[in-house]
Amino acid sequence: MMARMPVGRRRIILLLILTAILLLTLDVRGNRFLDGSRSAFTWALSPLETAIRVVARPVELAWQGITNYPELKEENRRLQELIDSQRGAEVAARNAVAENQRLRALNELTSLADIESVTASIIGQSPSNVDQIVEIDRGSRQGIAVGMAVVNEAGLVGKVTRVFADASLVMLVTDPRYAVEVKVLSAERSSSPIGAIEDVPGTTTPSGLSERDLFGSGDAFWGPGSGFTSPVDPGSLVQRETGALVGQGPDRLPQINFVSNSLSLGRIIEGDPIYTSGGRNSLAPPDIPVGVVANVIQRPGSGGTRLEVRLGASVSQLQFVRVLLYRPLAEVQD
Amino acid sequence: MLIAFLRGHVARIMLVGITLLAFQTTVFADLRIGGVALQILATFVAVVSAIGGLEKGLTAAVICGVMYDMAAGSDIGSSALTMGVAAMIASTVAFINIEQQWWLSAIFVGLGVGAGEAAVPFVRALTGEELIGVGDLAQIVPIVAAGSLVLAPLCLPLARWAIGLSTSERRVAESGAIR
Repeated sequence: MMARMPVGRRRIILLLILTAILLLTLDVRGNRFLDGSRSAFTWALSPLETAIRVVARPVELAWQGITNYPELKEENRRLQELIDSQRGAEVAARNAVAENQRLRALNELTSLADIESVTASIIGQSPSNVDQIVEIDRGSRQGIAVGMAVVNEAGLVGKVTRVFADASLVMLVTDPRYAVEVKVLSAERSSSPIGAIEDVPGTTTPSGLSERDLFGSGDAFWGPGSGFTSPVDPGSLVQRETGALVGQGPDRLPQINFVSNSLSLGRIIEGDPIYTSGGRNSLAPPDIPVGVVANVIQRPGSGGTRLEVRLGASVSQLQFVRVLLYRPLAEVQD
Repeated sequence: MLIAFLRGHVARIMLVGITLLAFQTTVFADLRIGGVALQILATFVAVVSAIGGLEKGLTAAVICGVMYDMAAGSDIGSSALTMGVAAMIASTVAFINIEQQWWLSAIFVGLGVGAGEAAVPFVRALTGEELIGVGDLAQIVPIVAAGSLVLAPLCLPLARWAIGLSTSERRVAESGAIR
């Protein structure tokens, strides 16, 4: 193809390819001009996007109504069942959370409720089929910085990867590039595995709330009222293992690799809750609920055990999120 | 000089590109088919390449790719390369037949955009990112390619206007005598 072209045209084509590679190199290495251009372009594009969103809204709704009707009907039925089952347990849960916060305050322990947060709504998602990134309507003017953890009422959602003045990009937990340090907790158990958390003495789990209610069915709840407090106090559970949770793409469960499932520490079983582990360098504060162990995969040889995690938050159906204005201890001390 | 620039195909490609980009980041990002977003901007680039030749196609790829990266937050230049792949494949339609049929051009546009989408993880790997999303390509690429095949006729008048193809030139081009 190239051989049949005149030399001048070949030069132009080569120049265009080199331009793309040069831009890529400059951007990867970090370039202020390109960063500024990106911010300006995003700002300039937003009115056009808003206009198109307004005009196309009826079409979008009609399309989604046609394509998602059976799923929405089924989800509506399931959510109604969930509401009914949770109505009775809510009062007990509120008491337990309040008690937990009082005890933490007495012991001068920080909880997620102490961390300032900014509520944001999802205004867009990445046009790419590879990235799992959404755009929120809050940015650096509201104190958001790159790396901050993003949560919703059901748990960890992702982290901020790029910040503009009034908007930010959030990489979701399901993105294959996302990783966060987590800990797998489980209640003290003897030889027989537990069925549900409320069976275990010593937890602050309100009676009547099963694990499924807490984590297993999408955006259940954690923290009735306004506080970000897990309904299960992580301090009352035993830490079994820590590891890095890594996203695997939109249709796959995130995984935790290189887990030791030794008898001395106690077996990890399906349903064990997973929280962020925090730490000096971790971008996410400790004790954010992430989800539960969905599958324990034993791998032969030195591969170790791999855990698949069913997320608490339903990241494909986000409307509102909270950005925790948390900076790692290492950064604060520096 | 400014007027000449504004009348030239670069300015027109930018104008059409930014409009289609706004559609890409809103309507096409929301209305996914099987969880896959159709790529209207890459389709436009491929159509430009199919009717205007590789040179104009790559120009459109660089312009639209840079704009896409700026809006999507990906590394600037990476989408220019993947759209360049789409443009290269779409432009080969002119080399395999004498009389250009619209449906054959649409097929090549679909193939080009599909190949461009398949190249995304590999281009990202060039910048040091892990090779992600390769397992999902078998599902993504056919949907993106089929979507582009459908969208290609819609992009055709926009592409003709963007590269300033007059009616007489278009007739000559359609008869296969151009390039």
